[in-house]
Amino acid sequence: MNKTFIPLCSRRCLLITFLVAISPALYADHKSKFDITFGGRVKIDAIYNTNSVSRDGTSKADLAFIPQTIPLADSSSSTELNLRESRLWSTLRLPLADESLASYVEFDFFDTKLKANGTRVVANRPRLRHLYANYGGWTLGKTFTNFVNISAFPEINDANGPVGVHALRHELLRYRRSFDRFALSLSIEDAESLFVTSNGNRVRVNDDQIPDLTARANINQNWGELSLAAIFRQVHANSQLSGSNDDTRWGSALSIAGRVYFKGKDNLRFTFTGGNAIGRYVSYGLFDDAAISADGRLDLNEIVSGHFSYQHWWSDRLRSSMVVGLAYANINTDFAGSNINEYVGSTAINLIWNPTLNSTIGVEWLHGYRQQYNQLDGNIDRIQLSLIYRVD
Amino acid sequence: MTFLRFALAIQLTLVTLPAYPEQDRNSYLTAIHSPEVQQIMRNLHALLFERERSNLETQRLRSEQFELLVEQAESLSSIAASSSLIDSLQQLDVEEQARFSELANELSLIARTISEDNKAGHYSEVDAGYMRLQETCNQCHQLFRDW
Repeated sequence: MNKTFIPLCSRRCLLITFLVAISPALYADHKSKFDITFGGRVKIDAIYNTNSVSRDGTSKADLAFIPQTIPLADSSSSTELNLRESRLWSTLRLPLADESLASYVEFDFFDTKLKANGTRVVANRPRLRHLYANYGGWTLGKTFTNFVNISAFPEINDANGPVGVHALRHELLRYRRSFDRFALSLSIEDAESLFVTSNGNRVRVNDDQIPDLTARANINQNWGELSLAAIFRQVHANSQLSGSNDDTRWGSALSIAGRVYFKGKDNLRFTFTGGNAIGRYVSYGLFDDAAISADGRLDLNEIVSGHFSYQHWWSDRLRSSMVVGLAYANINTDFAGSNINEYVGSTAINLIWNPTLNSTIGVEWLHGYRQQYNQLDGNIDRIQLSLIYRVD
Repeated sequence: MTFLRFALAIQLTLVTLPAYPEQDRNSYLTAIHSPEVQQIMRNLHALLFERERSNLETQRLRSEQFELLVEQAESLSSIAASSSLIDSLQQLDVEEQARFSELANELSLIARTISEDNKAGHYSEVDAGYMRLQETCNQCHQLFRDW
């Protein structure tokens, strides 16, 4: 699964070239049936951070809430203008037998690059968000993990959302079957692990031998919907990483998520997740999957996380959400040291309005907090004004 | 309360139309207000402002909801045209009865148009159609709320 043999940029170029190349061919063969649509949105964010993360170039953490980067010491404030959460997408449909084969590609501009001095900064170039095809109940490609229930996501202006979301997007093969008000989906997904070493450094490895396995059951009722999801993961570290032994551990986690409606359109959205080996899934890698000792032994991190939001609709197009997210990791500090995150939390409140169906204006306040095992802590406040114009 | 009774009656009529004349009249005197329709309209409204899902996934979910909505709207339209329902609306004057039938037919027409636009991939028309549909629902509810 080592992907480094093709540079990232080259892979994107290959992908875009491939899509462009096959489109006319498909069009020629299926002129009467072929259907392709393009769409997108422009999102302009104005963000004020009380604690800026950027040091040498604009850090992504100043543009989107990344809880693991909350500064532990007071820092200068910053104001950012950002267009990188704008998106472009294309849908392609081709009738095949009784079903329709649909493929989808979506990009935003939130890619990052590593500078020579080790700082990761935003790069103004496209980033692939989704690339997948659906046929019948099957989905193949890169999209949201089956472990997440997107319906439970709060509506928030921030690009990443509150602490506790596990909206990881990666390569998967999923099968989904619906039965009236019940749906079941199973998937095998790309495996990758994050380790924290004894000096507190993070190592991202890609030598897992078995894909992640997930299952999710959804029920839909008049009051809303509820889902229960499970994940099973193998976490593997080879001797090249540790310098001594190979080690393998199996981890698992459960997640309950849903959206419950109250009077009118008001709703409560929530996700609660608990288990081990899910560091990469929670808040885009908030924690590591395992701690690795100096002699190569693994100890899986136990993680509990969750978020809930209450959304109130002031009118048909004006609404507010109050969002709270929390995460805690029980990590073996004998393996990882104490320079690692223990508790992380966030809260946000916003007011969002759609003057027209295609346009959205929102203002939001977000507060984030993190505490490490060594008792160092930090917090950040952000005020964000967002304008979105969408074209389908 | 009258409005709720009106809603309940349409729902009951949907499932018990042949038995209607023997039923207590008040139990029919309502408009379309079933939990199923409420759920569909609420889901469609939520999908209209969806930001996190991929566009393809949003379209798939909306297609499902529109199909359900068309079923419900066509049922309402056929009920509005049936003589048994017209009989049940004796408390309304002739003009109001005609207005009720007109709105029910409009609802059905808009729902069918939305479904066709949705299948054809004309999503901006679908959004506009959905807003027209919501306005029609609101007009009907406003008109018969105090009845």
